[in-house]
Amino acid sequence: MREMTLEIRIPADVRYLDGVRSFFRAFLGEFEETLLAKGDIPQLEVVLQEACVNAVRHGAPQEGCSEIGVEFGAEEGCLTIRVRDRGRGFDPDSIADPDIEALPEKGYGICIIRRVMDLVESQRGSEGFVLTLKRFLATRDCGAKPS
Amino acid sequence: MSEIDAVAGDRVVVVLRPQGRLIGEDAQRVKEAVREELTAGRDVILDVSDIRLMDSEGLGALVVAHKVACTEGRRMVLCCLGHNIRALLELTRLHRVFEIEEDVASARTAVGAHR
Repeated sequence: MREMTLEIRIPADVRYLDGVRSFFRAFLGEFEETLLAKGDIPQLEVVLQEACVNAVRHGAPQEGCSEIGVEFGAEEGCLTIRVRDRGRGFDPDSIADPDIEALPEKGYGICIIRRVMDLVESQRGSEGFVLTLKRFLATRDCGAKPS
Repeated sequence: MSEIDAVAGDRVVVVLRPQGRLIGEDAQRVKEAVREELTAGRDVILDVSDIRLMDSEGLGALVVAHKVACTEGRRMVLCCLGHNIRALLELTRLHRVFEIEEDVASARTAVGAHR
């Protein structure tokens, strides 16, 4: 597997997310038909946009005046998406999946991320909040076992 | 963003074709536009072919619109779903909730609309 990392810093503005998605699509193209199924790609793009939109909307003290960092990496058998922002962050484990029968208006974002990714980690620090999402591409261990 | 179809009987169908992003305030605007049509007694075909970006908040807006349709006894049909919107719906299992058609023509047929 080709190991690589791409890091992008963009203004915290949704207008820049189309560009991030284009980079991500090109990045995923490296693994399509080898380590990813074709159907995985739209799901991973949805995960990326969920994480990025959340960072732009909630992780930037002043939308348009702050930056977010987006990193895609492939190493040690994992695809990693890491999104950094300047907000207070959230604990993904504290958010339950929505009850689909009740059709709530909110709460689908983290549910989507959990269904696609094998590992969801969050970290708060003096520099802000980091959300790390990992998807296993191969059998090598990268921090947790798939459920 | 809309065009009105004549339909059989006294039902009227509106085709709404929002553009751009279905997130944040834009999602709320689309939700209100759909709600307005449904509460005015019109069925809605929501053509999402021009939506470049939709997130879970946009999904929530569609859920609310779907519930309004049910409450009002109207129909809301989604059509022209791109890969990402389809993935969003499938990941949340909401593809089992919404009425979905391949394109506007199929959606018109589904609701019995003719022009």
